[in-house]
Amino acid sequence: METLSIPLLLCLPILSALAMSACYRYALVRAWIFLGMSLLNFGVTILAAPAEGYASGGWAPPLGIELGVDALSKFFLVLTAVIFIAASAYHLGMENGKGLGGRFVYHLSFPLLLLSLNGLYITGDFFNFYVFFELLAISSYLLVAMGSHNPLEAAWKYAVLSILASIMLLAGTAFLYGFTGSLNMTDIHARLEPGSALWLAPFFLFALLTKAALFPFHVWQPDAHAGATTSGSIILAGVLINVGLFGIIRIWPILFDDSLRWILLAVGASSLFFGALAAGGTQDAKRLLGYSSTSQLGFIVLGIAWGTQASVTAAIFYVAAHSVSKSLLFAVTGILGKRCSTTLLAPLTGSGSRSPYLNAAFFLGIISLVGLPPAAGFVAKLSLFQAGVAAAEWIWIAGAVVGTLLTLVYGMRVYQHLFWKSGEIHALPAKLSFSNIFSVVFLAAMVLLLFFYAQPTLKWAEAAAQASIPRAR
Amino acid sequence: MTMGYAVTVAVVVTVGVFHLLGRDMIRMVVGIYILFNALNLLVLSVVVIPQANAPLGQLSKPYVDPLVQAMVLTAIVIGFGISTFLLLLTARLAKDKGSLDEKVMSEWKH
Repeated sequence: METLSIPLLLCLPILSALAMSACYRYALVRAWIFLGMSLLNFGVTILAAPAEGYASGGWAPPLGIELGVDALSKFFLVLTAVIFIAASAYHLGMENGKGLGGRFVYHLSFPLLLLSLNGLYITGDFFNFYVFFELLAISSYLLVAMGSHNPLEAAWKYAVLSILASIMLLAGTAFLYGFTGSLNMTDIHARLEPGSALWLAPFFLFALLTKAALFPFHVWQPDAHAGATTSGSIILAGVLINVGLFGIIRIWPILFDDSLRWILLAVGASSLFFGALAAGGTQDAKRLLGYSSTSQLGFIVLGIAWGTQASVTAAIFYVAAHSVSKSLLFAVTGILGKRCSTTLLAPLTGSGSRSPYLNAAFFLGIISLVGLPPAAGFVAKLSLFQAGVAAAEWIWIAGAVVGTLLTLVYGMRVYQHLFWKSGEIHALPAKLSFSNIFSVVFLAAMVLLLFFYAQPTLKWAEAAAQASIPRAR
Repeated sequence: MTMGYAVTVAVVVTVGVFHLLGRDMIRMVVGIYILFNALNLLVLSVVVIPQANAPLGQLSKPYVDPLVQAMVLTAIVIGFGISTFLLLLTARLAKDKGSLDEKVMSEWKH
């Protein structure tokens, strides 16, 4: 299975894209292919055993491109697969058939996204990382451009910013090759003198921070969320921004040392505050959730920047907790938004007051963002603060506490708007399809599961944190 | 030779950034394409590692680093594809908004 799983991770999305092209007339069939691909991909990622490496095309590394699954990549692969299942189930229930969500290109962007995500997580080669990064970017422009509300503007903004990011990544990769004479990650770590590649930091930071939508480069994200369809938003918030974090966790220890951690600390803290404050002021539910992602990723970057084993473990667990809870919030908001055909907070007021189950699911998502039991976010925040206390990072802990309170403020604001206030009675709750209910229940179960079975996941995150320290050749 | 490459890349990047800062969307796409070309030049100029051996066959030095050429080929295709996509997006936006001025696109106020 070890040798088969790595080609399967890349071939399965390609085959699904081909199958989708074969039935380009039948939107419903394509939606089912999307779901089937997500389920199969989940199976493959679960079975993919951490292996030493797979030399693609038979060329041995460092010359050839090395693909390999380690604990870190496996954590992100499985997380991606879980969110893809939820997104595809949601899509099947809500956006199939006629209308924008049923477009052929829109469907095609999902297997391309999965292909590039899987590739990014398993590659051990910098140029290959750039290629998958670019492929991911192109398919996500498609995802945003096929959205429902003013999507072309959002796609334009996202595309220009993201292209600048990939230009910077390509420049960084070229300089790195000229500097070290290698592109293989393990090889480069062996060749680099510690601290000699600090001048490359601006290139890689620009690219990764833009992809993760962290503070100075977050501007594309709220627009993209407001423009995209809901399943697109679930993928954007639950999967895409994790790529930037994965890049920081993977590339940072290879190229840079502790002398640059102040950049990450500053980025983390400013994202934390700015995201939370902007989320408090916005008038659109999906934009609010987008700003909230910037804020939540600030916590994760703080954890990465503290740099101890425990804090990186907490940060990796936090990635999973944030992905599932944010996807849950987007799924519920999408269902309400579909009923009222808007995502602005004012017309949505009270739209969920007659739906107790959606209310419970949304509340679970909010308390997971804030970090209260019994939700995944509680374990994530707890282990993050524990790691911070152990590392004696008091100033940044104080900042994180204030950020948590701000999260409570904007979380309760959107929750009150959607579920407490009694606004005008809009169209009666439409009958939800089974796959809609499945996707919400599935995500809510994941949020609870990460709380009640936190220990195994934390163990796994710890193994991932260990794998992020590059091995010596 | 390296200096020549460096100056050329710097000039081309400057031209690209200058166009990117304009308000006309087509001009911005042109700027991005020029930036991609500057990047191709940069990748090409990455210095050959003199002490390494050619990966294929027994070639006598000096030889051109084949990896850089493979990278440039990939980068050219990517840059071309992305600029095409951006032009398409621009065309659709121009049709929707009736203008190519980026300032027209400011509906996101909330």
